[in-house]
Amino acid sequence: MSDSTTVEQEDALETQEYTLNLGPQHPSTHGVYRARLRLNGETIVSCESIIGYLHRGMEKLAESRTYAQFAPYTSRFDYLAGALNSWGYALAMEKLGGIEVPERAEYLRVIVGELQRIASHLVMVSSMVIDLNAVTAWMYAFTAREGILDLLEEVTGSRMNLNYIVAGGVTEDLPEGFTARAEKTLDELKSRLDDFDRLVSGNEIFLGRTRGIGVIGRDLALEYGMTGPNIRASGERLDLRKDAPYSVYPRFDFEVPLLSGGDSFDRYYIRLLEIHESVKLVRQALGAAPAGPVRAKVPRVWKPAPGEAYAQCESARGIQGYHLVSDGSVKPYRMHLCSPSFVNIGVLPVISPGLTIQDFVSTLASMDIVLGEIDR
Amino acid sequence: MRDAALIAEALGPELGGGVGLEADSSARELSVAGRDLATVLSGLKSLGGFVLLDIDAVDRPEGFDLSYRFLDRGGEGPVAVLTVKVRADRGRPLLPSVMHIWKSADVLEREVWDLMGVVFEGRTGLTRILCRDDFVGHPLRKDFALERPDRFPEAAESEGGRA
Repeated sequence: MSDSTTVEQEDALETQEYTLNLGPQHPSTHGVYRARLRLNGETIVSCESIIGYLHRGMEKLAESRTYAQFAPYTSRFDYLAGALNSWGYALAMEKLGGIEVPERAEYLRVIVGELQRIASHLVMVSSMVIDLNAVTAWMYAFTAREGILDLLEEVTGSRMNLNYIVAGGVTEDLPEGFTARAEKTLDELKSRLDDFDRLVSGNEIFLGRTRGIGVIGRDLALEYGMTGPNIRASGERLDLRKDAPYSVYPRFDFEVPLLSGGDSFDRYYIRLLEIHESVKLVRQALGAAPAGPVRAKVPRVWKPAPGEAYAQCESARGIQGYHLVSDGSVKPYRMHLCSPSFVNIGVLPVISPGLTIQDFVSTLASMDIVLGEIDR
Repeated sequence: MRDAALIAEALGPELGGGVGLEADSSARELSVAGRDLATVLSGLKSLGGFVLLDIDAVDRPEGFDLSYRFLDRGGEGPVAVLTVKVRADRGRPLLPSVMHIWKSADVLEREVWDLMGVVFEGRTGLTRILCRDDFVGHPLRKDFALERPDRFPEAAESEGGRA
């Protein structure tokens, strides 16, 4: 039987649409994300995102804790990039209370923040390839991440939930000999990344499953408020570290990588490019960090004047915003997190129709969602 | 980044008279009445250079204060947030939906409805998004009782009302 007869026969077949739940317990949904797919054969007709399985009521919890007590919770939002979440919260507190941050602390924030971004992007690329069945490559990226987590553990005492960046600065100074060890790890990271790149980025099967799959155009991405690496892979250069510089980022020499394909492959590849830029940032910050205190004095009982503050920063997944409202007491009257993953998945139901299930898996993996910050 | 007062001025002719729009340049805020919300937000859309990133609500004794956060990418200088503030009535919190103007508003409005109970008119699919479908109440409201036996009706039934 030739191929053309098969196609003709398939066209003549009467098919029936059916529903398939992808998730919430599914290895390729990166947490408890559930997609209710309407399918015709293997082709998606419509997709509905169902979230909330990890909703812990964090915004409500914040109202019954003091500002400082809530800080450790923030790294449980986006648990792959906890330090960057805490940074956003610290920025909001500093804006609310007019707290000045010592210069050395800003450099340490960049060091730990960018190491965290590297670790987060490494999880993204490795979990993406394992979703596409490349088990070997996954080990390469996870081994590389382990080196970064060792560095973070050395500074903060913790691998994942660092609780390092706090209002007024950071909790600890760098340990002795850290710079040399960090340089060594970053050198190793480079060679591991090159291995990973050679293994994956040119692989025929990987390209077949990611090139031209799940394309999100620039206009569509803007329309749906997408941010972070996802929109930079769609040809829009939007990065708060450059566009609305905070901390000491303007002092460093780094690029914002930009790709224009908007497909799964570009969303994967831009993370690799960004890791190299983050390495540059860490090296520069390690070299330039001035001596001095690492934490400003913030009163133990901290009562900001009534008012509100909204602070944004560039997390590993896009722009996150923290809204703090004070009524003059020791606890926030209201705390709100605008999380990039939550906004980013809004576009999924629009781009899914027409994809096959395997393409959907590749697309979802390339969006790099973290349910901890979607569900909050 | 553009000045909030200048944005308000630029919106003026498009909106015509009778639109309650106040600008605060230092806070980068526009305050608008609920009935004019859609007009102002579609005005921002036609000005160009804005991205809607976030809608959040605060429960105050006077009403629900909603903030629509736009990323302002027009004009000179750095990108900055522009906030559009609007108040929804406490007894009958009702606002026009802006989902047809800003697509990202879909999930954001559902979140505000789910957690704060503000209703958005003129859209479909305003369903719960973070809480489960049969959840009772809106948890971020200040009068939300943290312990209530009727919150999960079927759990109460299966456990003989002890849940």
